[in-house]
Amino acid sequence: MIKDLSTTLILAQSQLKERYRNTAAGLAWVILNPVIMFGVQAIAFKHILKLDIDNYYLYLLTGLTPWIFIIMTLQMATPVLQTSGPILKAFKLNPIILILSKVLDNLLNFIIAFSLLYIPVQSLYGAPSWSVLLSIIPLILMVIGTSAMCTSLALTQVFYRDTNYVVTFATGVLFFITPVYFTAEMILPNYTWILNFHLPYLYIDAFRSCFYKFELNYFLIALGKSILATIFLLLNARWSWNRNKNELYIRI
Amino acid sequence: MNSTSESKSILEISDLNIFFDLDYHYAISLREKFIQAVQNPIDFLFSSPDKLHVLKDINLKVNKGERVGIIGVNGSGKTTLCRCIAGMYSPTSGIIRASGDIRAIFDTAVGILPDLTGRENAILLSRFLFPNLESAHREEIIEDALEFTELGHFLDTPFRTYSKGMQTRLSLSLISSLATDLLILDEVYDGADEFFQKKISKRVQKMIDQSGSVIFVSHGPDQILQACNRAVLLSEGRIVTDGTPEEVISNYRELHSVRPTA
Repeated sequence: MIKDLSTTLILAQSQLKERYRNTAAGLAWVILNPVIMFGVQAIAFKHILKLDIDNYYLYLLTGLTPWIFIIMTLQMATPVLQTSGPILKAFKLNPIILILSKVLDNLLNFIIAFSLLYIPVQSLYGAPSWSVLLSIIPLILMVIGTSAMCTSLALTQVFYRDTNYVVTFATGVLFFITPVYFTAEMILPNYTWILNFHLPYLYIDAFRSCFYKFELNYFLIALGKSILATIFLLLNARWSWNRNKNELYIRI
Repeated sequence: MNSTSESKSILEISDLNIFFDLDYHYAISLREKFIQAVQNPIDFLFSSPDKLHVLKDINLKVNKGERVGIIGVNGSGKTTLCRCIAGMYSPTSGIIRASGDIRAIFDTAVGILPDLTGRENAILLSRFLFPNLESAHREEIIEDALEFTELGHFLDTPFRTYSKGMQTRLSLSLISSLATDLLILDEVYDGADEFFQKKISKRVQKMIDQSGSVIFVSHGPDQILQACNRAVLLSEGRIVTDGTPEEVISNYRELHSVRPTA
């Protein structure tokens, strides 16, 4: 376990080195991407569509950056087993290491981008609440849940080669029905139950509740839902793994 | 059978069977699967794929000091057996008991991150192959392997620009740096040029000599005769013969009507 974790960290570090060496803007682009996304959406929804939501920049930031983390990780990790076929076939290497290294790679980008944006945005609305410290709990759950989703999807991609295309398409559509730039209260009451099954949103909601209008009861319920989502995703990833681990080597 | 049969056992395989799903109408895309499900929902929900019996009742014991060559035609189950021993496949039934470290190599022309240099890939590959090494020992091994490759300034160019032969040189030099308790080598010489093959075969032979036991898979009877003191013939997923390399290769040639080369 510790050996695998150390290998994952080294692989994630090497991936970062590889990626930044290949892009002219390097690290700057990885940080600029969420900054630009945030800037454009903040202007579009606050000033053009004139959405009436209190402390809107803080609301948007604490929803948009975790959304980008989850979606970017899914899109990067889904094809990883298929594209790493020669390595996996060449010697014994736990395939989960390849998936986790992608998660860590994106987690680092998320933490840097979020920290850079959070400080100026929070300063617009005064000092942060102590509840910010609680955000580590939903963040850990988000990382575990995203890793589990990535494992199931990466295995599916090996068997069905358009999985990444379907994931990209589905997440593109999902964005417009996810309360990232609008609030859950804006959804018609008949349809709000859908949010209980919207796995990325469950993580975003628990994370955001630590930064935006913190209420202990709301936080605990959101946390409970994300714990259940994590258990479900872990069980699903385990089931996918046990079912497909032998055929994996034939299909890659 | 051989002089080491009474020594300590490194690997014991009992009644090993492996089945794979055999899907004749394999849908390659989710969209295609979706159409299949809509067209024939009963089949989609209740049909189960046929099974392909890849390894059949394999029983094998490997003792310390044995160098076992596995020979057989394509599709006879050689690589599947080795992957089972390496822990990459889970057996459908049967038991595999191994004591000590197992290192298995199935392809030598492999780079982890092609955009990194050959040197950086060697460092990364060493982490995967030898995870338990201390950093000083690791650096020593990497330096020795890189010198052995004779790739010179190419070591600092991206791995993706290497020819297959250069990739093989780099991987094989590193792989052959360190002995282990049970070493599994599957067609390791593929891809290397004739001159490097001669050079590397001495190094691999040294590693084989230092390792506890070796399982060596090859299509080439000569390589098995040279490297092994025991051989196993696989045919259609079963062990047909287990004995001295000369005896097994003679059976292999007889079974598949291969005439001995001069």
